[in-house]
Formats: sequence, structure tokens, C-alpha cells
Amino acid sequence: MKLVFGSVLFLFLAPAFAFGANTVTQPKDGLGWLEKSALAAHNLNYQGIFVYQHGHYTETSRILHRIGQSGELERLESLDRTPRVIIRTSQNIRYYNLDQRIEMVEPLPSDNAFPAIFPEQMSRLSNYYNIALGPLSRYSGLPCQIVKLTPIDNLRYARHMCIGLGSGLLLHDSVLNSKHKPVENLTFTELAIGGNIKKSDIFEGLGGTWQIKKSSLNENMKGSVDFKLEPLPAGFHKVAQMMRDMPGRSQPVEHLIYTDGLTAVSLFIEPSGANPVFRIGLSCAGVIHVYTRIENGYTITALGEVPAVTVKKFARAVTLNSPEGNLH
Amino acid sequence: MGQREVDQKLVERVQRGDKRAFGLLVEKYQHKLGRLLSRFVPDSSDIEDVTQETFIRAYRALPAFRNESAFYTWLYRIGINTAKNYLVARNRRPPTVTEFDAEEAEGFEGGELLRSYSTPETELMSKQIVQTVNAAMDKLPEDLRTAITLREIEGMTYEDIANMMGCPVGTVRSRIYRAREVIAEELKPVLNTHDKKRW
Amino acid sequence: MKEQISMLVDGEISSRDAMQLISQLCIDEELGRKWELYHLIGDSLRQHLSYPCNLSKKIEKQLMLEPTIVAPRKLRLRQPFLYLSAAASVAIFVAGTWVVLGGSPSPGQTRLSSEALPSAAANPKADISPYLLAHEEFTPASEIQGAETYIRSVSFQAGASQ
Repeated sequence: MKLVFGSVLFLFLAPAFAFGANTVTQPKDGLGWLEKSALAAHNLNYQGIFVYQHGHYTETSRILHRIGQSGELERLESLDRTPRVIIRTSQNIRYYNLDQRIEMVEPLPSDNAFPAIFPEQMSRLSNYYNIALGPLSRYSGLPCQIVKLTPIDNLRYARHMCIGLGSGLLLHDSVLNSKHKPVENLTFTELAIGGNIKKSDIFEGLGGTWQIKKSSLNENMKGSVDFKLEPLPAGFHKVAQMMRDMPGRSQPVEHLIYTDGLTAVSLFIEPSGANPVFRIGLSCAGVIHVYTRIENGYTITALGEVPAVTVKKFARAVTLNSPEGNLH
Repeated sequence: MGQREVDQKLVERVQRGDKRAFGLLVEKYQHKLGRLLSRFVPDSSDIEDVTQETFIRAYRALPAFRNESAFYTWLYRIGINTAKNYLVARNRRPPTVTEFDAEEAEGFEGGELLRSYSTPETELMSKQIVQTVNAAMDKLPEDLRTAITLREIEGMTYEDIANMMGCPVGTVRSRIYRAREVIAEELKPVLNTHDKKRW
Repeated sequence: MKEQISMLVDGEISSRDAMQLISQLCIDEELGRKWELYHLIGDSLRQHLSYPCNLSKKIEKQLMLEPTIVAPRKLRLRQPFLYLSAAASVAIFVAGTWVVLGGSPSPGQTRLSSEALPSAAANPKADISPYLLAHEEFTPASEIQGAETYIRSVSFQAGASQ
């Protein structure tokens, strides 16, 4: 409890309803606001309702976030789709399908680097995005600061975030395509900050027995594919690499993740088999671009919330040795 | 006791035959629900209808409500479903992403595009209510204003507010009550003029 | 008593006091007005009044025509009207986009780029959702957004599986 009060007290030292950004505790620039927001997401108890839209698709969800002695707990439940709950803890992510009573637990890598390298990440962002303050606005009845992230190249999307003045919580987030048109957004319609969120609130309705579905992560396997990725698209660096046993795949899949600090591209490399999962060439899954090609008996797929050119670059930058190959 | 328990008590009362208790729930959630549904319903003149229909459907379904989830979560689900049915029945789609671009709205009042109202009468009343409340807030002594702001706008509990303001919970409770009473007094004439029929 | 209404509005009241107070609230018109006024003030401060819904009187009128609920636990209500039936959902919701009834699905709704792009699954039976889920864990924006970021992959997955 002390942790919460400490951070909340700090945030509210100036009158909480001061709608201007001129108080001592307010960040000076866009990067400062992003840092504040990232901290707030971890350090505050909150619950709310948000609506996610892309194109005409909408989904409404309820979220609870709790910080306590044992770390963070988060609950995300859908209000309008297949009854589904996602629980996030510091060790894992659990997916619950309430209709079929299926639970899947996905461990988070123990060396999950993001929180640790967070300040470095944030400042790296400025190398590839112009981060500017927009006007003040209001979402969910709360005043907020718009922060605009404009990419310096065509490899990533622009974003507008609106960050609560008092709490620092992200109230609204839009991704804009290369024509500066919003392709998706996420908006809170209600948000209550602080308060006592009980563990039982987080795990409500999740008691009883569940059919356990295995996560695809195979923590025991080491990567076995000989490949190079160059040139690495500008601004991106590798942050993780792992093996996965994907359902229906006879061979494990190599999964690599690259990020520019704000968005990520996943690269999947697996031996080509009889039942292709991805369409060859360029395609999309909602707002995620996907590019798949085959080389030397391997299927290489790059996907992420980035422009088409970026996933193409990633997939095409991979050079492989054949399965029978011997080179390094 | 918590909001959820209060709602549950009201629901139980409705389930035992007290319709007025349902009216109390309507008064509590009508605006929040309206806000949520406005993201689905493109015509602001229809938001009230869809919201009203949601409450009626909720009333009819209430005998089967079991407190497995919070009442408002259940209510919102019905609302979203009602809004989608409404769209389908009219061969409409939900508003597309572009309609919620903050930059299309003016500075501070923007963000959520304030929709045009169904009648000039309701627009005027809402504006006057907001103006009256804001004016009354400005005139409040600072400790009262802080207390009610932290409660209503930031959604904090009395205990959190007490820690924040460095005073006992009882003081917080009393400050919030007094703030509400002051504002309510200012509101009465506004509501009385508008509502020969309503208030 | 009025201060107690204020506490009830905030959920900051003991269970026993609440029971008593709610009974009073349901019969005492002046207390009822307080409840309504206090909620109106809160909604006004939270800018909810953009969506005017002065519904309680209208609804109370409509409720007079509705049957009074008796012995709720014995009633068995048919669920279907609460949710779109699964079949109807499929007709309306295809590959993550809304489709106007009677119209044909157009996959390129999201307008990511100027071309209309095909869906990423190689064939109707191919399941790309595990790949999307695996990807979603590592989006750095989740540092700022929290779990909301999962909505991108699970929303697609949910749509595809319907």
C-alpha cells in the first residue's frame, strides 16, 4: 500500500485538478510524459472500461490493475466477445476461454528485459520518432496531454497518445497509417484510479477446474536454425529469441522479436511443411502486416504492427543455410 | 462496503419486487452507459433510445442475474449487445475509427466529440447543469473542492483521499457531503425551471 | 441521514447501514432526489453529461407496464435474447470486420495501405492465432498500455474463431 500512496502522493502534490501542465511535477516534454505513463501503468491500482477499434471492428473490455507485495496483477476481460479473460502476473500470462473452460499459461521469459532497460529504451525512441506535445484534451472525463509520435522514416507508424494529467495513465491511443489517418484506437470510457482492488476481484469467476492447454513456448530447446539477418531495418534491435511448439506443426518454430522501442516485429522461421499456416507474400491480420517467403526449405514470416515495407524488409533480410547445410 | 455491494443490494431489492430500486440504478449508470454506447451509436439522437432499451432489457433479465460479475459489467454487456442489434436492424456499421480523432475537436473541450443533442431543450439543460456545477465548484473552499474532485474525478476511495489530504476519513466524508450539498443547492433552481415535467 | 446518502453513493458505508438506508431511499422521495442529484453532480464533473439521458422517470413509467419480479431464483429466463445467436454473429462478423447484412465481405476494411490485402491465413483451416499471441507479448507499447495491448491479437483470434 505504501508504494501506491508514495507514487500517487508524488503525482498529486500539485492540486490534482490543475488542468495546466505548469506544475512542478509535470513532465517537461513528450519523452517525459511517456516515461511518466509507463511508470503509472505499473505503479497504480486502477480499473476501467475501454473500447478498442480498428476500421469498423470494435471490442469493449474491462481492465483491472493491482500492484501489491507480490508484484503486479492485471485482469482483462471482454465485454462483448466470446467470454474471455486474460490475467497477467509478473511471471506469466494466462488466457481463459470461459465458454470452453480452457486455460492456457504462457510463461514470461525470466529475463524479460523491458522493465530493466526501460529508460534506455525510452531515449532510443527519440532517434526514430519525433516526440512532440500536442494540445490538452479530455477522455473519460479526465484531462490529458496529447503526445504525438511521428516516425522519421516509412518503417513505422505514427501514434497519438493522450496521457492523464494527474495519474499519467494512458487514456487514449491512436495508431495512424502513412496517410496520417487513424487505423485503430483504444479509448477509455471510464477509469477509476487508486482504491482497493482485491486479488479476488482479479481472479473472479476463474475458480473451479479448467482444461489446460499447453503454451507454445519450449523453454528447453535451443535455436537450431543457421541464419543471418542483415541489414537490420533501421531503428530495430533484437530483444528476444526462443523456440516454440506451435499447434499442428511437426517441427519447432524459431521466434525472434525485434523492436524500435515502441513497436515490435516478430520473425518466425520454421522448416517448410505440408500444411502452410501463412499465405505467401504480403497479407494482413487486422492491423498487423504479415510477409511470408520460403527459402532453402524454410518458411520465414515477419509480422508486426508496422507498414508493409517493414515486414518485407525483415523477411527478405534473412539468409539461411539449407537444412542439409554446413556453412556458418 | 464498496460500490459492487451497494449495487448488489439494490439488485436484490429489485428482484424482490421493488421497481423504484431499479430507478436508483438507472440514475447511477445512465450517463456512464450513454457514454459507452455513444461509441457505437452514430446518431446521437438514438443514444438515449438505445440506453433506455438497454435498461428495460436489463430489468427483464434481472431475475437471472446472479452476482457472478459486477452489475455494471453485466449491464454494459447488455448495452453493447443492444447497440449492435440496433445497428444491424438499421443496416448500419459502428462508427469508424476516424470519427474519434481527437484533433478534429477543439482543444480542451475536445477528445470526446461532444455530440449535438436530440433537442435544443436537453442541450440547454445539460449545458446549464454543467455550467452551474463548474461555477459552484469554483466557489467552494479548497478543502471541499479537493475532496470532491479526488472522489468524483479521480475515483479515489475515502481512505486514499484521507491519506492524500492528511486528515481523518470522517473529515473526508463530511467534506464530500458538504461539497455536494452546496452544489445541489445551486442546481435546484436550474432543474426546477427545466423540469415542470421532469424534476 | 443525508450524509449517509452521500456515503452510499460512494460505496463507503457498512453493509448493515446500507440495507436500512436503501429501504428508506426507495420510499422517501426527498432522499431519492438526493441520490439523483449527487449522481448528476458526479456525472457532470466527469463530463458524462454530453450524453444526456434523463431516463429514470421515463423508465419508471415503462416499468409500470412490466411484470413485477417475484421469487427471482425460481424464474428461468430464456437466454437467447441477451446475446446474438452464434450463427447470427458469424453472418455479421467476418474476419475481424463488420459486414452490412446482405452485403459481401470486403477484407480490406482496415485500410492499412492503399492496397486491399488478403487475410494472412494460408487457407480457412490455418490457425495463425498462436503466432499472433506469441508476438503480442513483446510489444514494448505494453509498457505504457499494460494488458490492453493484448486486445490486438486476441480480438483477431476471437473473430476468426467465430
